[in-house]
Amino acid sequence: MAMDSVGSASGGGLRFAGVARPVGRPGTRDHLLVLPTCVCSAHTALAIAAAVPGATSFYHQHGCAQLEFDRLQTLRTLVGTATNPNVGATLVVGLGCENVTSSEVAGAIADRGRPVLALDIQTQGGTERAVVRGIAACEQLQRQAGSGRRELFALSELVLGTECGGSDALSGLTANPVVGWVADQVVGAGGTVILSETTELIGAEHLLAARAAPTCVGELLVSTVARVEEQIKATGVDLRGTQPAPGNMQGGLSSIEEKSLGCMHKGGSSPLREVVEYAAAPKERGLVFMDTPGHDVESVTGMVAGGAQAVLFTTGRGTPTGSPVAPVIKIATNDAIWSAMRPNLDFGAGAVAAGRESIAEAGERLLRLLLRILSGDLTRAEALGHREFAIHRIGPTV
Amino acid sequence: MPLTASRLGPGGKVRFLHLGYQCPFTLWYQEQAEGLAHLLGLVFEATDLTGDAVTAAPLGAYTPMQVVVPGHPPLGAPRSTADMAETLRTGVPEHSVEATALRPAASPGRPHVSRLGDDDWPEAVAATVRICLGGAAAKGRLSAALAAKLAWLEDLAGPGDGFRRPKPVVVLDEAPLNARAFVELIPASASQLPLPLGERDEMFLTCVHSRPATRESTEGAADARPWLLRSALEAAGARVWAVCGRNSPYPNGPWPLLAGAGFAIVAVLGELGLPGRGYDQSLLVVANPADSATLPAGLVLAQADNVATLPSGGRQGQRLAIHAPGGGPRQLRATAEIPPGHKVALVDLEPGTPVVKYGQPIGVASIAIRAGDHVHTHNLSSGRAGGGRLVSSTPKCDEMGRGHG
Repeated sequence: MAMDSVGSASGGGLRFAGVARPVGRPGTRDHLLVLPTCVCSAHTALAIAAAVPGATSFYHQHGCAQLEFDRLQTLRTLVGTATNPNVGATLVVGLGCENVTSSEVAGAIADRGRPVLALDIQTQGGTERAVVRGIAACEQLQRQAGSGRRELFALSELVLGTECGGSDALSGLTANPVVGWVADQVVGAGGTVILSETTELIGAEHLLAARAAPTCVGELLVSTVARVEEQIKATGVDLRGTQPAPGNMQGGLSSIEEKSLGCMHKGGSSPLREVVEYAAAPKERGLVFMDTPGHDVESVTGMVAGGAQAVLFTTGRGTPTGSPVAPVIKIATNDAIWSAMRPNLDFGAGAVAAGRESIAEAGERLLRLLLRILSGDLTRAEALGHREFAIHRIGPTV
Repeated sequence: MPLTASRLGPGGKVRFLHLGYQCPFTLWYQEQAEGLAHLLGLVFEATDLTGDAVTAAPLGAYTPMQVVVPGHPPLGAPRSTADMAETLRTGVPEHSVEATALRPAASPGRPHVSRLGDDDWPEAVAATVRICLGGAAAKGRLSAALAAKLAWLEDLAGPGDGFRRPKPVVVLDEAPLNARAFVELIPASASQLPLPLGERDEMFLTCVHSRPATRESTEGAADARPWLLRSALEAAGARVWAVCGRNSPYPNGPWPLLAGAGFAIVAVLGELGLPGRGYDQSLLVVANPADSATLPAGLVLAQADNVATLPSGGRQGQRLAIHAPGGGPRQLRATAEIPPGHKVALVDLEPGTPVVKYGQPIGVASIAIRAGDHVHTHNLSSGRAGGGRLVSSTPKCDEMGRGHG
């Protein structure tokens, strides 16, 4: 699928074959998304997607009985996912009596210039009719949609998410620095890289803040971390008091800065340009921080809703999760898991640990793989059907 | 498996040259060399100085490695070379086995190690292993110092008809003696090497897989020998390979000695698919300053860093291959045991100096740190939350945050 001119760092700059959109950045995929507004419409949405070739959908448990801040977070995440460049068109499936209504979601998607249709199960007269009408609506959307033909785009058109999950002692030495190297190339080419996981920043936020430009972005980062710390403290737990954990120290981590730096190194060494809330689209180019939890699926969901067309995901233990709309590239931190979990993994960075490969050499290899995947090659998570989706919830269900 | 054939390219030949007496020691060395050649896909050929082929029996034929003397008793626990020699001279054996039982039997059925046909062996000799524990003195090629040492082995072997053939010997179930004998026979300088080494020569050393004995039997001056040997061979441009048993019961046994001399494990022979060769407890170790791929790696993650991280750790005194961005590996000697995943200082750090990793300060040196030192909570203080102590938002932490923000 990859073209010869793609995936090479030589010649006329780094380019990938993406799907052009009438509005916004190009997609690395061309999904028709069947989007459930709430837990009650998820089954119906999945049934519609199952009947339409090329359609994708996912289950989630939100959209109703939420406090306003959670309702808005759900709305933002759903709309953000539907307007990710990888989504060509969206069918919104609502129930009819939920907090996050199909008209509100579809309206926001339409406002952003994306093809969208919506239906409610209660209005249609039940699950079966909603499925039948939903399938017809999908066919209508597909007729309206573009050809899906790929064209070459520069990396400046990329928003790249970074994530680490199932970390081990080598994460901060191999895969994370390799991803950081790629992140620096993307930023250098004018693209955007999202660093996430606020809790993993605790103790070293001042170091990332020192790289902020303008400095007010650094202040916002520090206050964001402080707010999350206070939220956690309000539950009676002081995260920092346990960091680095005894196991971390046994593994060689000497200070909380070192631990957090190992995690945040995924973002590379570029200046921090912006701090965005969960699932919000960055306005700036360059390195951006998104306030997400350490929960892998919630964090990836937030970055994809914020517009990430692909995610680099490092793992030491072998995390299989993907995304309904974005390729999630799994990077093994060590040779053992690269071998043991090979069917779930896209890239092995373990050679760095033995000195057989430098970070830059592994980085170039990963960058070539990234360009191929941006251009249409499937990730292992995609090939295996992984479409995990989870919205970070703030308060209680009411 | 980190062992590479980069220097010994496939299609080459390893020539193993017996300079003198073919005793169980030298034949075992040959076996190790043959195993390595097999591993690298190289043709192996062993001859003596007359050009006659020498065949080593499968290792099992000699197991365990023993020095044997006719008509002598099992050894106790010798405390020194002189003691050993004296014991050997005066003792009376309770159990003895004729040396012929130790001779490598001709084994026509044993597998041929060459991956090439017998008729297309290339002329290229990838490596020559010259081996001599005795008898080469007769060739007039050894220094007086080495010859003196070899004289001891000759004593040990007893009177005989020269060194062209092994003497009748008796098994003594006292393997540590061999480790001692081996160490004692290591030449202390390049000038004592049996022959000048060529550019592509390899030299195998074998440390026996010892059985328990007293600690004293391996302590003492012998500890410095692997160092001297390595220096001698490296000065001569050779790569030094060694095979030794692991799980040695001695604090100063063969492996710790070699590890202290900068040897790194490159393979566990028992795990390399060389069946029936008795390697299951043997480590193949190598020392070569030109080949950092075999040393424990220390990773430098950013150019500004003053520490490197060792994914697989390092031993006290061991050389580490430091891999930094934008340059080939350089070497550093660890001053202390460094556990896997821990850090080593690249330069001397005065107290209060920021410790930099990922190009960022991860704390400050709480005491003076020397290059090669293990860097951890004992000499590094977090500039932020205390390492592992329960802390809250103290003013100091907040100042730190603002200071850097």
